Amino acid sequence: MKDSNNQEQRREFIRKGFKFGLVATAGGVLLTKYLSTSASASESEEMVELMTTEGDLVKVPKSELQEHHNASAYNPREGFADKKFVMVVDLAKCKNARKCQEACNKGHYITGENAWLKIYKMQESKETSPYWMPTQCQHCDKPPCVKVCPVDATFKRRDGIVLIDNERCIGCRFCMAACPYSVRVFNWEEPKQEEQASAEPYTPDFCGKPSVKGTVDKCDFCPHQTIKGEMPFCVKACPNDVFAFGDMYEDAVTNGSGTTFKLSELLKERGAHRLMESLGTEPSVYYLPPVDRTDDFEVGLENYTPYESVKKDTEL
Amino acid sequence: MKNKTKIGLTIVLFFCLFGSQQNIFSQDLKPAILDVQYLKSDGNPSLKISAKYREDRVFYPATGLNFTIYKSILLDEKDELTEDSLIGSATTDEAGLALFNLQKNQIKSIGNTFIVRIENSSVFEEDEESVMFSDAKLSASIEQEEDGNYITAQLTDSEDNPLAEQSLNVSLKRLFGKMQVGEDESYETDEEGKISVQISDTLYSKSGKLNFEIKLDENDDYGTIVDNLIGDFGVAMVSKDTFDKRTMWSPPSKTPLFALIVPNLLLIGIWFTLVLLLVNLFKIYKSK
Amino acid sequence: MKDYDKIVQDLAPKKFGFWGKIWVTLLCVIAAFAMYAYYQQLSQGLVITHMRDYSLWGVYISNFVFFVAISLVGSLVTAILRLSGANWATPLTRISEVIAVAAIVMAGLTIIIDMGRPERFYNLFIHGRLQSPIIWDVLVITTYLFISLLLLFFPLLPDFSILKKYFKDKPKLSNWYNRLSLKWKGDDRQVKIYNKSIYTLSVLIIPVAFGIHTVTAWLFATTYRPGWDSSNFGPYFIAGAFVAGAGAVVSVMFVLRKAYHLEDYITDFHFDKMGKLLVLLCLVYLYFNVNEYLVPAYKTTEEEADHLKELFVGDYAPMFWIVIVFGLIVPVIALLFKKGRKPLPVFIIGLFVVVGAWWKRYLIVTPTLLHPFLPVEGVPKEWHHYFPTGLEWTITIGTLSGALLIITLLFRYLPVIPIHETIEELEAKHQLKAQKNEK
Repeated sequence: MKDSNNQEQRREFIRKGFKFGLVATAGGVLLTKYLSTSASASESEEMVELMTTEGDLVKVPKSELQEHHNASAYNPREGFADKKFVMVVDLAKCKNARKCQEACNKGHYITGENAWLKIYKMQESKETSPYWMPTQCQHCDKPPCVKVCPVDATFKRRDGIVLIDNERCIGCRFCMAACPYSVRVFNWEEPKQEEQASAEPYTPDFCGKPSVKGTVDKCDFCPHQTIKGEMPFCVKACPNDVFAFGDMYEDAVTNGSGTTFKLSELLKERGAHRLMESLGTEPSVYYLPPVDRTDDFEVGLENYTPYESVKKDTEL
Repeated sequence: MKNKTKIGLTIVLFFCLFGSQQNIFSQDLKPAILDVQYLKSDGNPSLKISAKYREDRVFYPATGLNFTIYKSILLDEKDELTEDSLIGSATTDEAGLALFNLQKNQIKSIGNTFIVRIENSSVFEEDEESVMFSDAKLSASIEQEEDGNYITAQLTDSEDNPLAEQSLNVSLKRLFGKMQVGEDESYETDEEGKISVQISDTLYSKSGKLNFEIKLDENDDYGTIVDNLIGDFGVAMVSKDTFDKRTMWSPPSKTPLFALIVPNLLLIGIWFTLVLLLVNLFKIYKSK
Repeated sequence: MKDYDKIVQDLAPKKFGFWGKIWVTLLCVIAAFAMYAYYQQLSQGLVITHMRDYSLWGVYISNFVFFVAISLVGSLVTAILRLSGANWATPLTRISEVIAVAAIVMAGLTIIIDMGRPERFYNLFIHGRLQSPIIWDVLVITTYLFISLLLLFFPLLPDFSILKKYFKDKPKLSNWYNRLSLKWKGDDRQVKIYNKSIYTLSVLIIPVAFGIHTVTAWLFATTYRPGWDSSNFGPYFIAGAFVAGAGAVVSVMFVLRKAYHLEDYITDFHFDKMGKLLVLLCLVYLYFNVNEYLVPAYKTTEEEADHLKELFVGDYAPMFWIVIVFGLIVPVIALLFKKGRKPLPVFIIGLFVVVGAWWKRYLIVTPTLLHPFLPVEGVPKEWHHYFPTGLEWTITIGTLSGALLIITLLFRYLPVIPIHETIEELEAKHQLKAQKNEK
């Protein structure tokens, strides 16, 4: 009897040990899982969209971003000495994909009803061909808007960029009346921007961060990007390489894919023109005519929304 | 407890255990897509590691991912026995890229093998990628001839034997990208491993400095070899900047003289008269 | 000096009667509504108007231009007519000056109402750019206001002196008149300074008046927009201002004449004369309108052609033709007849002219803005049109009632017609009569 009792005790011990072992392992595994969940960057963290130098669109957790902004290095009112920014828009490639507008709207926290970059359906006359024309601030060398500002709230920098100081603007809208390209927008009410827009102190070289009620906004040629060595949002976002951006003093412009062209050659060979040249504003944006188009004009009609240029959150 | 219940409980517990284990491995550890290249920049050897992962058809960079780097050492030539010697580690930045600098004495002339491994990552699966290459040398210079400037370069292996028929890219660094220099996109080295590119166009630079890059791009045997050159024959364009001039679009401190003088003269003239008239009112008040 | 006493008694400022009180109350109520509406605008922003990025200026600006236009009447009646020896206009000088002051003050307020950030008004002075037409406008308006106030004040000195004696049984009032009269006694020295000052002011106000409305016209003419890009704008606006101002004077003088029983002093003769003057001014303005509209119509430049089409036969055609016909042509025709120059017809025509002038400026501001160079795209359908909202109208009507309130309140304490000048002219007439009798 003693033997069977011992056997029973041993079995009991083994059984208990086994159960204990299982529970312990289960507990240990569960504990590890819990710990690792809280330590790693999970799906719930906010992602920011960036483009790599290869041209891929990637998403990066916001916590990984480092600001390279070197604010003390230059004066926002003066800009970069020895640079003059120019943009080339290739109308032969534009299919009204509207990615440029979306990137600009998102990057500048634009929440109103009027985007700063608009793609117009142009047709000079009934017999001539229609085409899509992306238009944003032309950063004119003889800016009519700057001439008429009564309080020096909009100004032209050394690098050719025309900016607005939303802390000085009195909202008279004379600049908007003077601009022949209709590129300026007004904040008629309190802008409904996300908190991120007001996260840092205001500086005129990041328009829209934040937008101020009762003042004027417009395309800023993204000095907040170029100071980091990156190109404006629209240039990078275009899937068709419509935009090219660069420094006129280097005689070079680079498109979204990274291809760099000799500016003077490009303008000469492709027969570039500027908008409303006869008004004498001397814009910094060159347009390459819609010749040898990559696609038919009709392709762009799919995305054509004549009464909307800023998508509301619910649609995104 | 009855036996059946015991067994049932055990089974349930077992499944729970396995279930949660499955959770750990399927949710948190992602497969990473790795790429390792040998990059030699201005004679400095390094390994360029890029890591990304795919989620919902979009690629994301694998940031903050730590790699341990090993050099494969041949122990026995005959048996091709190798050993992985740990030489260091690198962590990817926010773009999913990491650059690990190698020591020159770690590079042999041929048959270099380096392995990068993901170990102990809480986010990514364990993985490894290796790169094999032979060392080569690239030397470039600018020759100023009578008929213009030439960029010459020579590609040799580590024993100074010329490497012919290799494709070299010559480009000029501009603000946002690299611009093609000369007629062709790339140039093939001749029997002496040399290329010579004539720069016929005027190249512009405000400072006069031109940053050229001569590159053997992602060669199967030799990796990527880059040599940077600085030329000083960049032409400075006349500045179109009106910031310091008096113009109609300048700030108040630089008002054109006409706009400054005429309105002020008119105002001073009129207001002076108005002040005199106020004085007249005073005179009327004061008269006996 | 029975005549003397009677004149003073007739012309001295009187208390408000029943209708006067109703009028003032009504104006105050309107002003109160307007202030509430403005408070809404301050808290919510200019979004309460119907102005949007294309119609970026609206009734606030056209109202502002209207006020600047009306204010020119001061220089017209008080200065030009006085300097050219048209003594018949003397009874109307104070009415014109008061209208001018009220209009200029309201012009200043109206432009502040249009600002997106009115609390930054001081930026105009610390950061002002002399290259900007707005700064020129600020400078000229301030100067013109000051001149108008002086031109109002100087001729009041003798009147205040008379009134201090007249109101001697009302010590507080009399004291005020005394202080404001600056111890006017009418002795030779004072008269000499007085005459010289008024002459200087009359001469000075004319170029400043021309300046103020030319600069306001340049707010539009310095832009590229079709309909505004005209070298004609300066003189065009000034001619229009004289019309509007003259219309305002005849309307106001009719009401004041009735309210204060001044039929002996503002006679049918005055209405006849003003009627003739109004005809002349309307014809001059019509001439400028022909230059402004028919010359571009000849050329059919793309943007101009679209703009003119809108005005002549398009969306704005009814408004355009009503303004031209009832604001200019009908007045000219009606005033050519002697019967048309009787007080009541002149008053009605004056109202037509003033209302026409207000809508004319609306037609100058709005249609051009809705026809930019590039197509209107990417904005909601409502942004393709403009018509003021209820709150916008409330504020605008509030400014108009504010101007009327200033005029009304000033005439509670200021004599409508210059008393001393009336007496002087009567004395001069007596002297002439006496001389004749002697012969």
